[in-house]
Amino acid sequence: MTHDELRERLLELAFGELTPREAREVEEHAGSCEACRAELARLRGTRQVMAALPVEPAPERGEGILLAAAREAAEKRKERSRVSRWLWRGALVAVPVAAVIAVSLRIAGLSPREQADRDALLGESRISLAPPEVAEPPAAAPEPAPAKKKSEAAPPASAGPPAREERSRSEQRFATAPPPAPAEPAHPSPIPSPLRGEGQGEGPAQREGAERADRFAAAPAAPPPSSAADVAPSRALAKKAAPAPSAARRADGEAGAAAGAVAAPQEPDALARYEALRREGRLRVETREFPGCPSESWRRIERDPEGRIVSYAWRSEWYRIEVVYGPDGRWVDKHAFDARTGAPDPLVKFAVPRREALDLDAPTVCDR
Amino acid sequence: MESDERLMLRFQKGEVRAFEELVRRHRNPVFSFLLRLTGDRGRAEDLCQETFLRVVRAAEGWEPRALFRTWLYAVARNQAQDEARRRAFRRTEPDADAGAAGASEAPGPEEAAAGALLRPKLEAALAALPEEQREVFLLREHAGLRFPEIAEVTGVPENTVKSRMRYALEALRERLEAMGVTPEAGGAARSASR
Repeated sequence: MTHDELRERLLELAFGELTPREAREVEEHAGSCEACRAELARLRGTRQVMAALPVEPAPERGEGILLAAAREAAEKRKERSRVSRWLWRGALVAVPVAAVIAVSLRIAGLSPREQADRDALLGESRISLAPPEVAEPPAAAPEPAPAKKKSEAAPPASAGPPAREERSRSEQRFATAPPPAPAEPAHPSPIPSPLRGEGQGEGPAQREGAERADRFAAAPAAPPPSSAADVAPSRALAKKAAPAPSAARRADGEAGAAAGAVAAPQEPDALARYEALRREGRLRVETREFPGCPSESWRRIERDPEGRIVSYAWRSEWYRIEVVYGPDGRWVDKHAFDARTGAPDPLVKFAVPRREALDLDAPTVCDR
Repeated sequence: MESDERLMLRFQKGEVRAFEELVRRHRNPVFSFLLRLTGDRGRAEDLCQETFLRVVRAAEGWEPRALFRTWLYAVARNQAQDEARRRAFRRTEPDADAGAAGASEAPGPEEAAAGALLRPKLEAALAALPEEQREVFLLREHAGLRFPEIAEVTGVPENTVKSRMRYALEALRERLEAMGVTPEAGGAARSASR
């Protein structure tokens, strides 16, 4: 460092804001430069004198009001969380029940000719909520009657569009399916996400239930695209009610392959993919450091071989935050760690940035 | 010692004791900062109270992306600035209270000691600083914030913060010297008041 640069740092030295190495360097310079030594002595001397000015104690009278306000606010928060817990529990009970009803009605409404569709609906997990034999009549003759009966009975309950003569068989069949309306509000709730309720106004956390359900809904290849949306909720619920993740994954893979489309991956797959890429050293890492900003001292992104961002991390003075994104851009995992000990800290809440919004060179919190 | 950020997160979860601890740690320094920034005990008391009430109200949405202390002082400073603007707007005659800093309090027992004469001089030297230099000095010396954090609180570049601090120290030294206060005298007064 030049003399001027070293002199510039005398202030930081006097306030103890240099690293030990920097401090040694500046001290050594001050030892050999009379002007700098004098300036350092002046800075330290003035600080020393002003240190005689004590901290003024705040009057005690306001403290009680503050604590009362804090107690009231904490009570309100607890009350809100009690209500949301109650709703959550209610949803946990309601969802499997709705799923069972949905699948039973759905299966009961199928005719023998629609065996293929039913298989598609059940997927490979073959949920044994309603044995196929029950729904299969011995002869073909009585088959239209129950189907028709159901389709006539359905409209008032579903409040959907009335059945039309010209509607296709599959449309009629979907009309006999349980109305999606009652199932929909509950459908994000079966997702056992530890992040739910964090309510940071961020898309991923709030949309997650719907997105996951969409991924489940992407699996059946049999229903026509127009009807798929109608079927989706009940299928999603049925899958959740019968925990068969491997079957679900298999079905997803097959459907994706059959349709030639890229099915959205399950979170474990995206995570496993990320971890595998990391193990194999195939991630491209980019970092930015912000030495003057303790609240955001660095940022790091990792890209997969296709150039997509698959992880984002940043560090504040107290915490290190890491988010993993799937290839489709949705986040699949996020954690906060104590910056000093490295231990995970589940108490820390934070908003997950959208992958599209990530920019290593964006202004730091210190610049904003 | 548990970090402020951790305490704030516990308060977010409904633990009032965590907030109590935050108040215990920061209420006096925040009050002291506001008192010397505004030079008015009554205003400082109101502003300090409002600052902590803001903390209570904002706790639910608080995120530990910045130091709690940095955020707290930014809130306190903004309160002081807003209030000063409101006062300036309302004021019809010069503020008689201005400049009557904490030294106007009844003298404590320590002021009977050797430091008794020193403190009003230090208060006067500090009060004479331009506000932007005074706040940088107070944020560093009383709030314990580092230069980058002061830059965050005040919204100016770190180099500006350092320049203000240099000017502040230089001005303080000159004023104190003119009043006959030297580092040696200050050191003696400090040890006498302990």
